[in-house]
Amino acid sequence: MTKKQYEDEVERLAPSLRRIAYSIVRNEHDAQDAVQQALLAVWARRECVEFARLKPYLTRAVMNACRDIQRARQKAIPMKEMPEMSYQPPDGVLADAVERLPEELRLPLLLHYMEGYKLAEIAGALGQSLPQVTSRLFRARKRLKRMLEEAEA
Amino acid sequence: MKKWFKMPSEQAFQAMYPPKDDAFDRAVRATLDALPDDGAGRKHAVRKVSVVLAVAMLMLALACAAVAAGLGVFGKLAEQTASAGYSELYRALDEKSVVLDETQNVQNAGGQTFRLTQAYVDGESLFVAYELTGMQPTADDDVYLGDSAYLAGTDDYLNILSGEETLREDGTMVGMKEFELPEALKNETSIALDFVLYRAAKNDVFDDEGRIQRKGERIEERIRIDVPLNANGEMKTYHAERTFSTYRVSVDVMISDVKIHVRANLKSLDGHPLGREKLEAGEMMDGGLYLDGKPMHPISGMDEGLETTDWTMENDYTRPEQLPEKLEWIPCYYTETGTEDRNEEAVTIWLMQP
Repeated sequence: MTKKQYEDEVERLAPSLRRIAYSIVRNEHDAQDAVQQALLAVWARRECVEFARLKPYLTRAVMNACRDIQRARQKAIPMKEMPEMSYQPPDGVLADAVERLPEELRLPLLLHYMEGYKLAEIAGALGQSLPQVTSRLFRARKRLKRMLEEAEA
Repeated sequence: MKKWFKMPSEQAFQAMYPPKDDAFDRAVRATLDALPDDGAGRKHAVRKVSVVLAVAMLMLALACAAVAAGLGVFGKLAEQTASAGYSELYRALDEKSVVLDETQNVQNAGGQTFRLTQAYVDGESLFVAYELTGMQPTADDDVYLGDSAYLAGTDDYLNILSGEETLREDGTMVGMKEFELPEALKNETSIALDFVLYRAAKNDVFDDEGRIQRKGERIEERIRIDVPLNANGEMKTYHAERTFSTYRVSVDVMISDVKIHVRANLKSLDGHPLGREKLEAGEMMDGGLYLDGKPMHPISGMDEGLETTDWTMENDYTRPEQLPEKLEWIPCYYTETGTEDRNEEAVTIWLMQP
């Protein structure tokens, strides 16, 4: 993978990586930090990364960076509950339903329906098998459907 | 036609998070500019392969190619997938699916040819296999097939349940998708579906600081294909239930030509919650399928009602060629030292008279 290839791919994926990071760390500053940390970490290990698998690899690196940031925050200020999001979305019902999904279901759902990741890419990004991803996506969809229908009623 | 639940659009999901931000773009650019150059990385290790080994590998590859040549796309995927359960499923699908007419070939503007090669309906799911030629990556284009299939000319799409694809050396992408077949479509004999080919074309643009950047814009092209929906196999259903002092379990089994779907519903009779995430010793954690005493591994599954008094587990298994005499659903309990299958609480269904 050349630096040019890496730059091109990062520029294409950056908006997506930012949203994924934000969905975990819930503020813009930390989301930006996580993406930057991941970009440096992946480039440092570029000899191990096949270009065709860069997208799931980068996504995983961003999620790992988010967790590092969360752990550091937790050490500094112990929090019992997830912090409030710094951004108020226009469709509060959808955002609220998505936020209520546990992370193990929320991430596959967002990667698939928000970012258009294919199942194999989600499996690569989350370090899970295809059957695990498909069943989590299935469960996430069912739960989201129920929550949105309840909200509508 | 009856409407079904439609997932929110990609844009609706994206609007949950802050919109594009110049400060973020600048930070990414600054990070990329700060990366060390290509040459700074470690060199690849060069592996030497002996001539004898290379010849043996070549012969093995040729033998595999010869075998694979007689297979449909499902069969080719069966050869390549790492999952034993899916490999068996694809093998069965290759044998039982409807082979689609060659005239369904569609050549798109980018030169790729999309062909739906096989389709199979087991009553609950629609399985399709496809080939996309001309998929060698280029510097200017990133082409891929979306995971959704839309009902022709609408924004209603079939939910994907599973999928797999692989790029072969000749630049042909072979893949399969399994879609949830909505109740409203189950009696149709065929449906027109739009498959979506995405192309991320890259263009040179100038940003505010005059720097040339290459940005990808996703263009979509819909390819319409009539897919036969005639259920290829007969679906057999079975039911059994048992009551114990603290819970009641009812098990429904649907067996198609390719899959076994098991739905186990458990109801707590003493008010204790079922399917708890943080288990204590002595609590039920799962339930599994046994065919003539042999444990089966699910290829997909889901839970509903976790941590309530009404817990449902649904799992799919690949159906073996020969059906067993006895099918059992056996609960698995969490213990101090690990897990324990309780055979005395098995729910048994006899598929053939012993």
